Amino acid sequence: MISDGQLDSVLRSALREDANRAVGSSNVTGQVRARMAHAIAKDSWPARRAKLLVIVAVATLALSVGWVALAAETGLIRIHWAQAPLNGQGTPIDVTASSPYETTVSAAEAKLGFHVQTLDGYAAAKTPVTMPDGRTQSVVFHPPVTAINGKSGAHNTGAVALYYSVSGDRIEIVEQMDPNGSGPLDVTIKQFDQPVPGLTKAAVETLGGDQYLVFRSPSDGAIVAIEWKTPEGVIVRINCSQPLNTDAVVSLIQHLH
Amino acid sequence: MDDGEAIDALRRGNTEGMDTLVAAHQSRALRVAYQITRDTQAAEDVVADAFLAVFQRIKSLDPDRPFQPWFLRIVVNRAISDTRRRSRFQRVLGLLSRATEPSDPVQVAETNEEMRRVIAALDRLPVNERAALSLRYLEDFDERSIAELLGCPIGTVKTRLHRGRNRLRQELIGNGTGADAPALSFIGGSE
Repeated sequence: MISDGQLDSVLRSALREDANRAVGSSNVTGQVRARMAHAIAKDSWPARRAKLLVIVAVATLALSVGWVALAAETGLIRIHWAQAPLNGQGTPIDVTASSPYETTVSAAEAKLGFHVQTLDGYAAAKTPVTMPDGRTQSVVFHPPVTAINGKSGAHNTGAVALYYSVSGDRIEIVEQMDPNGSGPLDVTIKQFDQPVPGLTKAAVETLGGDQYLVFRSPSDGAIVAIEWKTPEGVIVRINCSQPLNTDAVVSLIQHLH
Repeated sequence: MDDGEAIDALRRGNTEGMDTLVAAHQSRALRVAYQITRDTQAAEDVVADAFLAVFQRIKSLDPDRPFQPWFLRIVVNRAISDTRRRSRFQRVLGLLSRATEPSDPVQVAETNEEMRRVIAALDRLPVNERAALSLRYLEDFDERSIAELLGCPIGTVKTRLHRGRNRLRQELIGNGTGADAPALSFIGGSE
């Protein structure tokens, strides 16, 4: 028979040894910084996010097309800076839309009416992905927003979010037809009245000859998200769970097709 | 910078305060999260998300209350929720993966085999019992502290510890017969 003392001793040593082996060398400092930067960035443009339904999309590039050719595919981007108090209450936004649901790329294309770019064929990109809350996700369709703050109308036609794991990092790619038509990608970003430590820096950058809206980490300049609009009018955005260097993001875009 | 100064800094928007909190509390949080989720990646996600929750709720933290119990409660609750969401199949896969990838081939001997049996038995416990046992034996919390962390009465904690230990004992005794005999030698038990 096992005595209580023996069992306690076994439990104590087994738990400690196993935990030290599994997470003894783990360090989540980088993950926490990235999450904070992302959270601050998200809070800074809630109205736009609500309208675009968390757009994270992908570009329109054939696998065989190079970076320079890809860059020529993006359209004009205009940033509108909205002055905002850091400590203000803000304007609450009530978005009406059906719940997102898992689907397939072909079903999403049928709903959205445009070709959804994917990373299919890119060996480094794995899907589905296990999210922090334990859910497994691959393709998620976000139904159209039918009303904002009680005002009904066709605010968009829905969006699709694709999830990949690339070198251990989660990548979210969101695609949505721009409800504003074929013009430039108009982006409104809040500009606070005082410095916000950790706030992601947004800027239009010319990469390979054309424009992208790039969100960079303030600490190391790595890319947290990148967004652009294709000639077909699709807004594409890539969100990274961990900030990536420019080459890694370019590689992702190059593999989108 | 201590916890109080770090929290003050964070409230003022100085994110260096978070670096201080992470450095001070991540090791214990990771151990606890891992023993509940039984998955390294999940544990890291749980802890990183818990720190993000701290950042988002920092203004609601009572300055007169210590940071660690408040934070660990977030970690434990999230780890339990995470574990419940994941399928048993995934957890078994994780266990098999660990069992077939010893970190040090030279050290792969009887002790590792026996340790794995104990851990495997732990893995089969209900998550609430595993959480209570982990907090008790991994971090040496007393029953009252565990009750506060889990947000349940102390009597419930006693029950979970008692049941968990009994289940574990039965599992190990059960494995101690026939092909699984090494488990008994490890725990030093004698019939």
